[in-house]
Amino acid sequence: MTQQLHSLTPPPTADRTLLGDRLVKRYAPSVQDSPPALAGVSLAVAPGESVAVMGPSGSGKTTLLHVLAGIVRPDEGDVVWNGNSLRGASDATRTTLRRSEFGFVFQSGQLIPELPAIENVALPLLLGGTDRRQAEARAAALFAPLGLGGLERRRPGELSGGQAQRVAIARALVGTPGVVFADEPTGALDQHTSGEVMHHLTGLSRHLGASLLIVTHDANVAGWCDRTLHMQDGRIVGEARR
Amino acid sequence: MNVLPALRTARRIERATDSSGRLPNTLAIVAFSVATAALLIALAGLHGFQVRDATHPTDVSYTYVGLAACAAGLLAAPVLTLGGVAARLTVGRRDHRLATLRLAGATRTQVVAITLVESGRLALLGSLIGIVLYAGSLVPLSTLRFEEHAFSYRQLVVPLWWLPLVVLGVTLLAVVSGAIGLRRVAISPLGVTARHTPRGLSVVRVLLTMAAVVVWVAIGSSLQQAGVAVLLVIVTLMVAIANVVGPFVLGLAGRLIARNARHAPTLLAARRIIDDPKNAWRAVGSMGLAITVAGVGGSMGSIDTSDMNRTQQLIAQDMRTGSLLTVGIIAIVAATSTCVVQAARVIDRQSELRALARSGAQDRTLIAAALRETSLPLAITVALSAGFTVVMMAPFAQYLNLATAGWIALSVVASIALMLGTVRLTRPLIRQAVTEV
Repeated sequence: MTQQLHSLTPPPTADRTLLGDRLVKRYAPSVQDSPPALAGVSLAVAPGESVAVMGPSGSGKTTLLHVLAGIVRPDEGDVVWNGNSLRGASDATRTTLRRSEFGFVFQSGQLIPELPAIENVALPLLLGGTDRRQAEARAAALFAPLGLGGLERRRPGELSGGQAQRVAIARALVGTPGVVFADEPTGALDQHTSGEVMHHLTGLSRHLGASLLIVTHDANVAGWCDRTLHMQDGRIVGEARR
Repeated sequence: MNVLPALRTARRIERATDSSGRLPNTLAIVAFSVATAALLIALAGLHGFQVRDATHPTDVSYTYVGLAACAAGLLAAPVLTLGGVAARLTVGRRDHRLATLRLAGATRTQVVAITLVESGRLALLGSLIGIVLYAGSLVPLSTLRFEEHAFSYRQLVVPLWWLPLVVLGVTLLAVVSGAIGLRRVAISPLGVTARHTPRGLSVVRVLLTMAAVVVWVAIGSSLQQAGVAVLLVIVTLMVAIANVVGPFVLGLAGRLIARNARHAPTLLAARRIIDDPKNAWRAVGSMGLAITVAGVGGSMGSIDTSDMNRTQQLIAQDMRTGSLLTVGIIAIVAATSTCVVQAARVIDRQSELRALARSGAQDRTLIAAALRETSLPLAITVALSAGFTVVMMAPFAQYLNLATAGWIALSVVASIALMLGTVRLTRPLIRQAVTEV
């Protein structure tokens, strides 16, 4: 695996820590007594660390992920990545940041159905302007370590749920991101396949030095992570280390 | 199986849907309106020449009836395509709602009935609006001069009993197209899924077209003395064959482009063409027809008339006018088809677009990919149609003058500009999908 992934290993940087500082987010600020989705959440995700966020529906898990990833702006507080505040960052800057520094895995994979697996994986690099041959070479390096060897030309409709989700993991990692954000990445998978996907997601992220932030309802999934945060009513109410 | 309560429930859900959820219905109504108006305008032209032939017959008035019938025949393909596109839109964009109804206990029969009634309702509404559009077009149409005379309103207003027939026809087209569209999807309580991925298109399409071209080249020159109506019927058949080979060529070109694409927007566009070349052709095929009509009609109208008598000169001049009118209507119908297909694609891919935007794809990249999905097949179709027209007119080359090239080029450029302009109308829709992260 090490040899195949050598070309993907990112250069060490000063401080690839993700910080959330007293984050507040309200979706209906005009509605009186409407509880905020985030009510002053602070957390730090160390380089290479994997963190699971658990909690009941509506507790603010996905909002926290969106705010930390720069998808949604917080009403109060700040997100700091690599020593830089995102508070005043323009939409274009945040878009570039998401493309170049972060990776994403969603519940249903969100692969492009018309593209073969290898082009799906190479897509973030192509969107960033990388030469196609180089982008596909980098994408190809991820297939064997993820147990996807030989499936490069298959389209998402020709893959099993677990295979499709591993392709999504490859797509999230192909740009050697600093952080991978995963929103219920195993929500549509059975227990066995879910374990396989988590094995690959945590192992490969750690190998590439990427931090991992996973939103999940599943305690088994959280068990793969270094740390689990519990949320309720927009606040972190508990923390457990493995 | 009780259909009426299901229909009432579906209507209540429909009324409660917000404006963005109603967009597919609005697009479908626009498409049915344009299709109906185009059909009625073509019939009005035919009726006008029939009335002239009956009330003021001349040596060539029956030839004009034949030419008008050919023009109406040429319009049939794009109008049917637009109607079909609109019907697919009414069927295909209800995934979530249909699945929810199935989950709530609706039978497959009830869901099919809801969908078809809804398609018919939108077609009925659209065709009624189309009648209003047709009525509004009578003023500009009455300024056109054929045989040195403008049409009177009496000549252009079709018999009133034609109107319910047209409305019925459009509604039936929507229901039948909707039923065909439903056969391709499985509506289960867990969602609406396509039954299979599209298969590759048969090479028989190409062989058929090559055979037709060989036959044309062999017999074309012997047809120089044949009546214009006969030639236009042959042109119509050739256009039908172009519709057979068009999707095949688009699929082939898509593979070539995908293999050599260097950037994400081109790669995405090419892969989507390969995935469903028939859909890509539906979006742009009518423009190919417009170009062929512009080329053939324009060429015939540009034949050197200095040795002809006054009547022949008039026919040549009127063919130019008729071709221009036909091309204009086809271009509007084609642009509407493209716009509806493009909007439907964006609506279909909202979650995909959103995921890409979340992952850091820039708005302009996603918009470029979406626009290229139309502009690539359009460019291929333009090249194909222009080549096809050159082959069609080769037997008559000795009679053509230089004005032909200018005429064709102008019509082609105007038609393409109209189509690309309407595609750009869908940019806000893409931006909306992308920014709702």
